Amino acid sequence: MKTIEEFKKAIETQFVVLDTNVLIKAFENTTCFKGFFELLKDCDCDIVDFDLINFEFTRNDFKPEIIDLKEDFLKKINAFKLQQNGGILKEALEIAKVYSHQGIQKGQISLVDCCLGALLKQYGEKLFLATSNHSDFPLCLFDREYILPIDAGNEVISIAFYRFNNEKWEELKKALSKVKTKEKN
Amino acid sequence: MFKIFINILFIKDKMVDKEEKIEDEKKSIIKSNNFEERFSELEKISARARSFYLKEDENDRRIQKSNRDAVCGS
Repeated sequence: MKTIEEFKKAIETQFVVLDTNVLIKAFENTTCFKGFFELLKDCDCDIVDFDLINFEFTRNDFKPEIIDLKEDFLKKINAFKLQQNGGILKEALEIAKVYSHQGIQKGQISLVDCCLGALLKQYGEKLFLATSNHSDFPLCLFDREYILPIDAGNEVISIAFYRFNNEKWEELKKALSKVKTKEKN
Repeated sequence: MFKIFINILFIKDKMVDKEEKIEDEKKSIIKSNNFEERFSELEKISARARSFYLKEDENDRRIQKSNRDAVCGS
């Protein structure tokens, strides 16, 4: 893991996508997240929009008042809409297979998290993920670059910044391809 | 003569540097003002959401209580 100075250098002028859990906590208690948003502002780092996260963020609401508030929050928080290359689902499936091969419990990591992994893969070094669900982004594939504690009064939220590691990915894919070859033989 | 020319160039360079610095400072002030403004807007949305959830909780409790009272009354 990086020191704060190393992390600031790494994230400078890059992009960050907020996981649903971070969005929900930030929505419910924005004041506690001032340090988090300040860090992103100081590093000139833009928050990006991901449709599946927006879906998870708003899926349980049906009352217009709260839907409006959430949509307004999303509009104000997200500075950038990433151009998504096609094939997110295909890559998410590949990632899911790698997880399965690594013995990560079947179905433990949701479709949205596999898609997030695929998005991080597409944008490589440029895109960070901020999440408090650490088990959904295993270190066999991602690098945990920094952990930022948020004091939310009755709880402390540990937000970690993850980045896709292409070298790890190549290694994992190589290991998986050996299994496939063995099966063929 | 040459010395004067060099001095003029030096002063000009310094002025340009100073102007750039002022511009940078202006930009950073605008940026930080925008941040505070944007953040306070987010805080307002959050406060409205919290009060909405509180009202919802109160309503839920009221409904539960009236259901309980109805059951007890019968």
